[in-house]
Amino acid sequence: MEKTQVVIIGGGATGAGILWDLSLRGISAILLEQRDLANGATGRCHGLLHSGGRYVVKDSEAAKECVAENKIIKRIAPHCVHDTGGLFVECRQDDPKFFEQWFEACKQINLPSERLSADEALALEPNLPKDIVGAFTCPDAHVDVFQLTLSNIESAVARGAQFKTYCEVKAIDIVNGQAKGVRYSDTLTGEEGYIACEMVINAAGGWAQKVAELAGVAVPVRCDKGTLLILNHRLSSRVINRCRKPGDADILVPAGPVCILGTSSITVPGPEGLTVSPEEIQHLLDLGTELVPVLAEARVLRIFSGVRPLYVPPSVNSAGGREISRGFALLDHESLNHVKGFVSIVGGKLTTYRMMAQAVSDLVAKKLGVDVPCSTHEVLLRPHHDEAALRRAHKLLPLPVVEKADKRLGSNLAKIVSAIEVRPELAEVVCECELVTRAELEFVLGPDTLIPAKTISDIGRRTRLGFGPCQGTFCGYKAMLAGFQTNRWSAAEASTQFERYLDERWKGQSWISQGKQVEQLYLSHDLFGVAYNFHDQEGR
Amino acid sequence: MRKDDVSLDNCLKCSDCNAACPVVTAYPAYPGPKRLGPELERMRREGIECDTEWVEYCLGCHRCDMACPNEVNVSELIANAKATHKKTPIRTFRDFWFARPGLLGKLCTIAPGITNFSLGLKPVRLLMSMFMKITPERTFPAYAKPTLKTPIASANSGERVVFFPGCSIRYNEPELGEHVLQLLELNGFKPEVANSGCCGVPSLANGNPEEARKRAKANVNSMLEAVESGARIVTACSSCGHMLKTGFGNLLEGDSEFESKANKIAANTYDLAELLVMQQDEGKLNTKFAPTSTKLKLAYHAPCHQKSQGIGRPWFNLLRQLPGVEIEDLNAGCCGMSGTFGFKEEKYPVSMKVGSDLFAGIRASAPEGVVTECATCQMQIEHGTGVKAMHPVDILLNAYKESVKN
Amino acid sequence: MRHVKSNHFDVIVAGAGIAGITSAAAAASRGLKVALVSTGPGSFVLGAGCVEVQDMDRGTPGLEDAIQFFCNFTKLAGCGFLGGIEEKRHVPTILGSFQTVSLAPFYLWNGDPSASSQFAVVGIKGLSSFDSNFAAERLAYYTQRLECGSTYIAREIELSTEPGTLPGTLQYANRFDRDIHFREELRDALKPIAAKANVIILPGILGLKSGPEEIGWLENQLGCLICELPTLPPSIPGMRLFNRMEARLRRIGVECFMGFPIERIQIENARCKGIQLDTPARPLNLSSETLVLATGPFSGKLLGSPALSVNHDLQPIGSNGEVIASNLFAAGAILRNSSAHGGNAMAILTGFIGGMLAAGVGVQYAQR
Repeated sequence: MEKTQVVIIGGGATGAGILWDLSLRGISAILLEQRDLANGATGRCHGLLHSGGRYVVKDSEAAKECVAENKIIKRIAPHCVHDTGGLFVECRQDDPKFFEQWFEACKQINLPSERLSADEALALEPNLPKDIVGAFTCPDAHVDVFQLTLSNIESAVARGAQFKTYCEVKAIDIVNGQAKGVRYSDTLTGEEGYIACEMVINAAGGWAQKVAELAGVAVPVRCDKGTLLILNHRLSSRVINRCRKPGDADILVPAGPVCILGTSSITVPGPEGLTVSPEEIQHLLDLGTELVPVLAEARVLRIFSGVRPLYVPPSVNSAGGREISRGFALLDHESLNHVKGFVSIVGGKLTTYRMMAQAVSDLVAKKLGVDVPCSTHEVLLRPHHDEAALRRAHKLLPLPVVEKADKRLGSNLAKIVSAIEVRPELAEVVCECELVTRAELEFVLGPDTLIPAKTISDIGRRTRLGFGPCQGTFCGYKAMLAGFQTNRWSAAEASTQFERYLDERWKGQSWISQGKQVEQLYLSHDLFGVAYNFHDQEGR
Repeated sequence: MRKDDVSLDNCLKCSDCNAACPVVTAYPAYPGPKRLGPELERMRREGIECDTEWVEYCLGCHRCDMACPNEVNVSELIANAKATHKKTPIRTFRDFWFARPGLLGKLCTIAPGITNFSLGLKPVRLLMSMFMKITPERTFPAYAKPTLKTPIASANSGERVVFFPGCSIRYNEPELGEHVLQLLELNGFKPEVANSGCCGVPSLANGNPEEARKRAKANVNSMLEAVESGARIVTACSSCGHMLKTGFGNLLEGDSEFESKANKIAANTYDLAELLVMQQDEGKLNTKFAPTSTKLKLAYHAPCHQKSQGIGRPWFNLLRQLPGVEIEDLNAGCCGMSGTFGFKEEKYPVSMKVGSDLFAGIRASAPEGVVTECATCQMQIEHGTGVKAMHPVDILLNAYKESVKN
Repeated sequence: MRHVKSNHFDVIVAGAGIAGITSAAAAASRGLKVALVSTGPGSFVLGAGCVEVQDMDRGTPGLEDAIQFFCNFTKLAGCGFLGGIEEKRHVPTILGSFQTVSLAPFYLWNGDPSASSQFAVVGIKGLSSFDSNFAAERLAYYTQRLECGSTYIAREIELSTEPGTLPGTLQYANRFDRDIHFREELRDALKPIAAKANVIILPGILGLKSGPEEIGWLENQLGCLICELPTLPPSIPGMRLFNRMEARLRRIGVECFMGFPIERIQIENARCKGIQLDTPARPLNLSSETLVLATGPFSGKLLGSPALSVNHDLQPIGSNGEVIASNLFAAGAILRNSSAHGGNAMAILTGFIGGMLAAGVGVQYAQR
């Protein structure tokens, strides 16, 4: 039986942030995640580090939170943030009164913004419509959601916290109105476990309602689906927003070598089984081309959906419900439901994850009698990168490969450099689309990493393997072999892993009805389905 | 979207380009067109530092473009990378001159005898090797007085064509240029020699698109009047032909003054053989070939820039009709010279390795001569096999005359 | 000698996949002037060109002739296929699975496990696209289900690499073609393994241009059979097939225009006049008496509609059911929507029939 002070349920940004926050305060914690890190909303959002501009007119409280957190995240996690800057574009067909309203509102909350003429804006971003009125700058940025979640968890684990993936919570043990422990099941091995603890934090996002039910508590969550399109290459250098009332497909975020267009807002019954209709996709593309005309010709790589877990507040007269802001809800079930040691955090946005984590950690620390204030706004999530390792890396690998590895690995870069120095074949670039070396691939599978990958998709989240144009067609196979060669999987397990990986990769492309990705998918099917006759093994 | 934006998105990572690349074939350390082109382009647009010495090893042969099933403009993506590539000081100095064969030509033909003598001196070549990394293994082509000019008005009042000679003919082989003019006159054309400079291919190949753009503009201006009055442009060097047909348009895309002019030039540029075959199709080709009893065994090598023009095999199809000529199409790969590439000391071994398939093919064919319309292919073939290399113009011209063998 | 216009042909075949090449070969075998135009080698870059006939009705008119023609053509091209319509062989893959085929290139034919062989699955150290332990284990597993007595052992050899390079199939294939020392190195590395096995299973490295002489030499030297598997693209065996077949086509006089996409098919009064290729400066016009379209499953924009329908004579028909052009035929994967079968057998069949119909002699095949 395992024992800790706090069990956190939900490995998204918030859960990860809480794990880190608690670890800095000396509170022991275990984070349980039913699949892999950032499986929910965190891993399925735009990756936009909001400047606040999107909320500044309608919701200035939320906007102010973004202004503050934007600066903090850039300070504590610079390796996860690409500070691209952003533009709010005044499109000719939109309401000029709104433009003025927007600019004024920014001034009110000290959101730094400058006005650009149409020519100036087009000089910066040639892919904007030629007939724009102008644009406003803002400090939007891109944040790598996987690296962010990973960094929080890795830093926490380095300080003694624990992180368990593929562990689904089966029961929350409530004895005499006090949470005592959590029973979970490892969905990969089938093993069951029990963790005794003093507090349980429900940070399960879209699954928060389901988790709360395990504690006999109601946490109504409305699942709001947002669909996003990944385009093959960067169509802009900055985040492009449409300066109008927030609506569908009005943001384009440059994200590494790709860019992401989104999004939509449709209520769905739950966080799983999400599908995307051709009409939805066409709707997004139609709107998107109003903002960035060249989208009509761009190659869509992948389509995915995520669910915003929106908290549905009970009637205004409920006692004890405490909302920190309209953005998110922190539910202390001790006061709300007379269940001690159980706390839920629902709603919010990626940009304010740290703040949400702080709110939860402050409450939990108080309940545990730990008088250590939050320091996540100051402590860097990753130590400075390793100059000596960089120099050694440059001798072994081409420039862009080093830059990418350094960004992803940080202080772990030395480990893969040492590995390559001993075995030169590890310098091979296995994922050619994203420049991932074999050394890095073996690292995330192996014993030296604090949060090992257990499936091929896990490898993808840690390294971006399979995230490029080929969507894992070529590198997925090599990753499977690496898992076999490093003894993580037997041949049969590896084969199954790969089959599941291909299915998952194919799914996200299958909604694309036209364009080059259709051919890419066809190539993948032809290669594995026909040439290697891979899927026919079970007679399917 | 600019054309290369569209083509970047087309890449399905099939690696056909890598399989077709002559540098990959000969030199496995070369990362290959798939990596240097569409893969690194996505990184470059992300702002990742991607510069690598390897871009210098792209021959610009366009075999990757032709192998690609998806119309990715691979070589153009690599050329973009070349343009921002930082070279060592020696290479920068050397490639400055290599990028300007027009200027070099003018200087070297002031006193061609002295130039040729000096360039043949061992100490001079050793100095060039030391300070410019120009390989002493090769012989420089001899320079000659640039006497090529429009023939004085002849009795022939045929269709006006403008002959774009290129630097090799103008400064090294003006006599070949005369032969081109004769060939054109024999076939009912009224040729004039364009008042043109270097086509700009070596400038692009050496990573200097600005110089290439200058050349393009000057050349467009020098020939526009003729083209607008209905004349066609003729090239006898495939690289010049390829450049006029594609390069001018690419370099001047988006230029409000020059874009349409460049496209007009391109639309009216013909390879000499292409033009002659069109004449034959219209029944206008001069087929008064002198009968002969001797047999000349030849092998034809299509230069890469000839293949990339997509005009078929007009020289081969013309020469195989000649009495007394037995000719085989080698189709044995790239010669490896790629213009100035093979002169560079650090590139010399790669150049020779790339051409090794062709050398082997020539040895297996055992011809009396190898026919090819690119001057640097000719140089490479003679250097690599010792077999005489000739321009198809001379073979065809001789067929019209009494004597047969060159 | 009356000059035939340089760009006029009896037959133009568009597409150099297995259907297009078969079509061009068939038309050329009738003594016609044929042009083959293509961008890319079709699916040769992916696999090994194996042919599955099992889903097709063996009695389909033309199937026997088509397969025989194909086998003969590949034999003359130096990349002969073994097998026949009635055959059923299991050909291994790098994933340890088996493809059930009727025809396969000679160097893949030996991989069938039903002959109770001792297989040595040989990987190359550092070659990341093939793991012999993985493949051997999986092959053994699937063979078990077939209930035959074959055994699979995994071995690894080490081969030299050019300075500054990592092991790679393309590098090895290119060296295999050109360097006798490399071939000898390979033989020497395999010899001790060959002593204890009937068949050596190797990843595809045996050259992009090689033929039965080179591969046969290796088998003779080793005293055992070789089964060479295609690995990740570019599939070396696949590209070798393509190169050999294309070379054969050139030798028999087919004019190849490789590397320029078709801009337009010129149809006038329900007759195809020719095609226009997207070439530098001006489109290249090629005219012909007939046209065979074998341009693969993504040819929608060529005929103005995403799905292609054909009649029993392999002639594309429009939405009104009328033949688009009387001298236009379609073959291969372009028919995927309108055909119950897929795969190389269908490609060869339709390619052969298409070529024959274009040559004016295929009428007896024209029912499916």
